[in-house]
Amino acid sequence: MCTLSELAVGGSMMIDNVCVDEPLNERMKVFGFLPETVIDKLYVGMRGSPIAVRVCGAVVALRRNDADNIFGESIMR
Amino acid sequence: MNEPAKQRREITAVLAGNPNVGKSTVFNSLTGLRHHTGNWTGKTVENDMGKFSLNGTVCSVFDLPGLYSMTPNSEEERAAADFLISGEYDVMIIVLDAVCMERNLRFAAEVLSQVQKPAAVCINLIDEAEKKGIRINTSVLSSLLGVPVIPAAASKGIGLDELKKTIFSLSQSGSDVQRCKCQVCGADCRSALLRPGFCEYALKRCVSVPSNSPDSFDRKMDNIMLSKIFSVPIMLLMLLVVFWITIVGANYPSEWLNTLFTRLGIFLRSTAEKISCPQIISGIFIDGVYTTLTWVVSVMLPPMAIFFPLFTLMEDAGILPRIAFNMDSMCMKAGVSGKQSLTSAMGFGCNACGVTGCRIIGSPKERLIAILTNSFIPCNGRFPTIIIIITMFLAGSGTQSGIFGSLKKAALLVLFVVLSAIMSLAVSWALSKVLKGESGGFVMELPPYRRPQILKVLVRSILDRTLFVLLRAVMVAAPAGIVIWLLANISVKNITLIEYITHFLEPLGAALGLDGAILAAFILGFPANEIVLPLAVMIYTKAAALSEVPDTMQLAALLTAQGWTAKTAVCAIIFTLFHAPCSTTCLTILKETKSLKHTAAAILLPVIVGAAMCFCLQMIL
Repeated sequence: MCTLSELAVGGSMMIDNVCVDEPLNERMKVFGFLPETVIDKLYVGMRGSPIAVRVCGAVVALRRNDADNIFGESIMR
Repeated sequence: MNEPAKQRREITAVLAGNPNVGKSTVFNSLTGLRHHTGNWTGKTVENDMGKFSLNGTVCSVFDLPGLYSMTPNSEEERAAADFLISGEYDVMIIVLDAVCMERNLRFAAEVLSQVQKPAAVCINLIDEAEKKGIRINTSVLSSLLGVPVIPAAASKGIGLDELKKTIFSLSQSGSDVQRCKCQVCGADCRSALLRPGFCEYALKRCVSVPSNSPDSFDRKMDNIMLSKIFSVPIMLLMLLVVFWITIVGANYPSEWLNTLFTRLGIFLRSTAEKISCPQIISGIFIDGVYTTLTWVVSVMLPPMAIFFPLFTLMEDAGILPRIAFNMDSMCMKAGVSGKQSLTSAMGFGCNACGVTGCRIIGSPKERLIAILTNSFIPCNGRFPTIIIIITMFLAGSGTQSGIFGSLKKAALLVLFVVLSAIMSLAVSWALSKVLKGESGGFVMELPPYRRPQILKVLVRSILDRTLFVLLRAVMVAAPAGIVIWLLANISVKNITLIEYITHFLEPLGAALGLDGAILAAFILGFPANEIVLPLAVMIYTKAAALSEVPDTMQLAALLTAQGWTAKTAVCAIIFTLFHAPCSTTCLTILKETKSLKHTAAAILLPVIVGAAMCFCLQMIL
């Protein structure tokens, strides 16, 4: 179990759960941050934020403090 | 709504879809209206309407702002969702991105299950998807969703005829939505759409994605654009190049326009004399309106006609969201949304456009901050003033020409622009501490890079933006010309009104490292920032009207004679960066915030910052 922030750049993870508050939670769902979805961590900005992730075929950027609340299992892809 | 559809001559269709799926391109290709499309999230800030006809029936098409789900997250998303639910149209077209079907399909299922209207799905960017090896079985998808599915590549005109035909045949089915039974599972499509796992099933059935990652080119680009080492130098370099091209390129057409307007002015004056036109009429209309107008046009048009297309090219290519990505850590420190760097970037073109663009920011608090600080970013109207002052007083001899001289000017300009960005962030930070409210978090899509269609960009940005902004400037410059002429020509005890004003402002101006004339020029320049410098010249020369545009050398000599030094120049540039937004921007802020208090704050904030900075500089230098 690790968070998206902890995941190494270039690594992939299968989301277990997303624990952010509304309205961000709804937004995350829309972009496809849902349990059992596999996401790839692509880039990290300066000072660790924002983080760019490939999710559902699109690249989405989010901030580190929100990535702290995305939990999952690191997997090999 | 219940009358037989066949008798109706006009129908309406609405385009809905995720941001950045090429809705505006579909819209343009359908209607032929050269509406501007951008390659970043939240480009369409107001509903756009266009028309096309097929076999004598006219169809009006509405292009809605991009929408990620039916649970809206920002002002403009709410507007789009409300419109979809309102049902005040005949046919709904859901535009999807073929490259990103997983997320788009979820959106389509959500909308189709909630909106009771005849609908079709248009899968756009099918050409890009094919290039990436993504294959979509549209007929199976159509039977699963229960609506027609049309593959299209709008920028190449593929699939549009079929889309048009579908819109008409759907409109004839009237408002009675009897969607087919799902051919696969037998259930009613609407209930099937809501079933958990539907999207996963549909994806598995209809979309095949190659196992190797299909976006390798974008990732190579992003390795550079988002790199920790290169991103900042690249961004600054792009800024430098854009300004350099603008400055160098604008010189020539400015001179041509200048010569043309001067000749036309001479002709107008001689004609007025010939027909013995009363002094006051020719004064107001030729010396007042005509001269002010031509000043604004010849100074403003060339840099705008160059800057806007360049900006649009970056927008279309997908560079702007990357800039937002790179700027976000700073925005986060300032406590504002990462999208604020996008609205600020729009402010470089026109602050009124930037303020309207703030609708893409979800949290009311962050949106207000973005609106209040937008005019800290110098717009196109202020650039010429800053550039000309740099040329005259700061870039060495002032006559320095060639690549080195213009690069030096561009570098100084970038320096001042960076200063304005820093101040904008600093004020944002202060506001985020003072204002109450939740911050909205930051989730933003980085769309694929796309090769911009250069010719279309040129035509569109000149037509849409340049002419639009110019027209608005002209509309305020004309009445301003009258006011200015009257102030310069009505005398009490042999002293003109403008001299009274200048005299009154002198002590305040001196305290700010400026003088009364410059301050008076800033105040009278409220309708358009472009006329500040010509106004100052008019006041200095005690002329009865704005003079013809003198060349840089003459202007430098004139200002030096009035006591201008490098210090005055720096203070004048600072005050140009930070003073009250122009009248158009103020009106836009009032319209967007619906609050006099916030509008007043938007005016006072930059004035206070500018005055404080000038005052300190005056003390130090």
